[in-house]
Amino acid sequence: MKKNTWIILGASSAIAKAFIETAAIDTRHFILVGRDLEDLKITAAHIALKYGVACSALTIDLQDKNCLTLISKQIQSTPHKLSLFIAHTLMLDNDDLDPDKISQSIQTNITISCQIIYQFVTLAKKPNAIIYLSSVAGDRGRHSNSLYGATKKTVEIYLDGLKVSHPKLYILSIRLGFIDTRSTYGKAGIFLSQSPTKCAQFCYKLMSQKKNKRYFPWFWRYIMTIIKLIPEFIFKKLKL
Amino acid sequence: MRYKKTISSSFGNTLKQPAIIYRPERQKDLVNLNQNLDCKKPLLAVGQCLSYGDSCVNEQLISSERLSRFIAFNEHDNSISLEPGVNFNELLTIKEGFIAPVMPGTLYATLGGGVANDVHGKNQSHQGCLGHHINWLELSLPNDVIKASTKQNPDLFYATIGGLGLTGAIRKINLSLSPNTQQVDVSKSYFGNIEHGIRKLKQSINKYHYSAAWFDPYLKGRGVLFNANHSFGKQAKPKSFRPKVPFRMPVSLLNKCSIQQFNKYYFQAIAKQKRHIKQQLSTFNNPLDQIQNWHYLYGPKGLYQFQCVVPYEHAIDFMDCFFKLLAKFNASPSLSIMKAFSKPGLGLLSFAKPGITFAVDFPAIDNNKRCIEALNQSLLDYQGRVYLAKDSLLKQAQFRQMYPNYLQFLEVLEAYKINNTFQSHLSRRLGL
Repeated sequence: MKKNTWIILGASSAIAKAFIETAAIDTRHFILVGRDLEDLKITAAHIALKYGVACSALTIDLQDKNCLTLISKQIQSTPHKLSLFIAHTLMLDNDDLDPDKISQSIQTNITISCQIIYQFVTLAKKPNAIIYLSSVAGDRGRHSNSLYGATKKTVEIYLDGLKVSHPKLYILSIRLGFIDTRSTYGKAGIFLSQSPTKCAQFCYKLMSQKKNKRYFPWFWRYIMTIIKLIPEFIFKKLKL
Repeated sequence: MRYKKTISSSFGNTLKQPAIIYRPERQKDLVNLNQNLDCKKPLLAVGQCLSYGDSCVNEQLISSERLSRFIAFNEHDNSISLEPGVNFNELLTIKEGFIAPVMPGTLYATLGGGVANDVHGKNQSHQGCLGHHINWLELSLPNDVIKASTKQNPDLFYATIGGLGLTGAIRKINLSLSPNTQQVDVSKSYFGNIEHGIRKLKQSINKYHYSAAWFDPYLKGRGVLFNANHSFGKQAKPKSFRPKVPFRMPVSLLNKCSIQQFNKYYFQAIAKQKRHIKQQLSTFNNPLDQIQNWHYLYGPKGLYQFQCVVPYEHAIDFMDCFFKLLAKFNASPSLSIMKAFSKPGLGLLSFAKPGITFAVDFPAIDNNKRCIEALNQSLLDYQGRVYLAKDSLLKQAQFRQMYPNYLQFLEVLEAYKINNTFQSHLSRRLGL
């Protein structure tokens, strides 16, 4: 595989950091996008020092109106193969929602993600790959986080369509179960959570092998098959 | 910030207590955590919890597991800045032609832990302790982030080197790397008793960069002295296979009988090997790292390590006393190592001072515990000192005699108003 440039959205997340380390051997340049400049700068320095790969940090709040313009500029100005890793997310439980948070959730998880994806497929000179971190929450609406699940599923379906219209572009939606990140750390009900490094390596392996949609960890495929098969009248009574 | 309920225990597994552990993933998280936490419960920042004793045990912990990135390397002075969760193994491979100036017994210890315990290596006589190579530190305190070096806040700097994590959570570390190769020429020599061994060890430090001796406490301290210098030319192959003890054994496999047999076998096996070999630095320096989870062999009760330093002039007399106490308590030491120190540590509570250091593992059973307590007391007669990173059994009065700078240390905590903020089981036991 030839060297390419990665735009990493949500570069401060543990999975994104692990992915950057995994993909560094095959990358000419990383553009790290996130809100925490200090953290992005440290990650950039770490990657430059450890792997000799150039990194630039782009401090953007994805809720901000200018963010799309800034990212579009980056997309347009990259003459090489360009790939997109989408790790940013706003993970809110239904119990924590209010009208403002619902707007934020939709803006961060759907609107901006889809806008960036659109700009990527239309403006990138040599689009190479899109990796989108989806969630098993999108498979069936659960009482605890159905809005979050819906936002993930929306982008996934948009990407499904792009797979047809852009057959040369590699698109991977990976449905994640429990990963040991700051949002699941110490949370009740979390079982068999996997390390972000394993998750990142799995994404990279799938991309190298040009594989399609997958669950990670693998057993979530079977758990979600069972959950999807539960009849509605029973599902309503279960607090899954 | 989210936390996890866990059991706080040390590497030796001799003490366990329920705890909650926070795991910041960004520098900002660490600062926010320190500023917003309920400080009624004391905090302690920890790395991999590889200290043998209770210095890494507390009811509220901050893990540096996810703060493990390199920040910058300065080619002019070979200094590197990093986060506290980076371990010595990563540091060894980050820049070709450079190594960590000091490498402790395990390379999986974090640099944050290395600073907190002012760790030393087999090259202490030449390179001193880790603290000698630290240029500056950045600490996160409840209301502030403070930079400390020999010029800026020196009192806090000297308290933090070897300060057992009681002076705040380390955010960033800057240290100087040593330009050197990753391989060594190792030579071995034998000694028939401990007196002979101590003399040989003392002589070898002038000639060799790395020196350490293994001795058999059941046979009057006969043993093998390993010396090494850096070498150039053809690279020795690193060992890629690391066998693993899969789980903690239901009972300790190490008892007097099995240890005696192992020691005999080990001495004979070494005697059969070539006297001069080329080795990868990490293979030579960290033989125990080659077996993953070796401490699981000690079973659920775990192990104690007794490590002390005794001035050269008292080393032989102390070892006479050591053997007498082993016999008196019918103790069953397992692995026994000695090294030479020449440079005193920089920190107020640094362990190192010129002399011979003896490190002896003991399965955690009653008579071994009583033997270590007696050894701790006897050390006072020989101007010796116990290494706090290994200690679980020292008494407050003994500690105060061994570490006379403790009052200065307490004054620094008072001056920065952190005397009750950061604590560990060890600090409460020793009145720090």
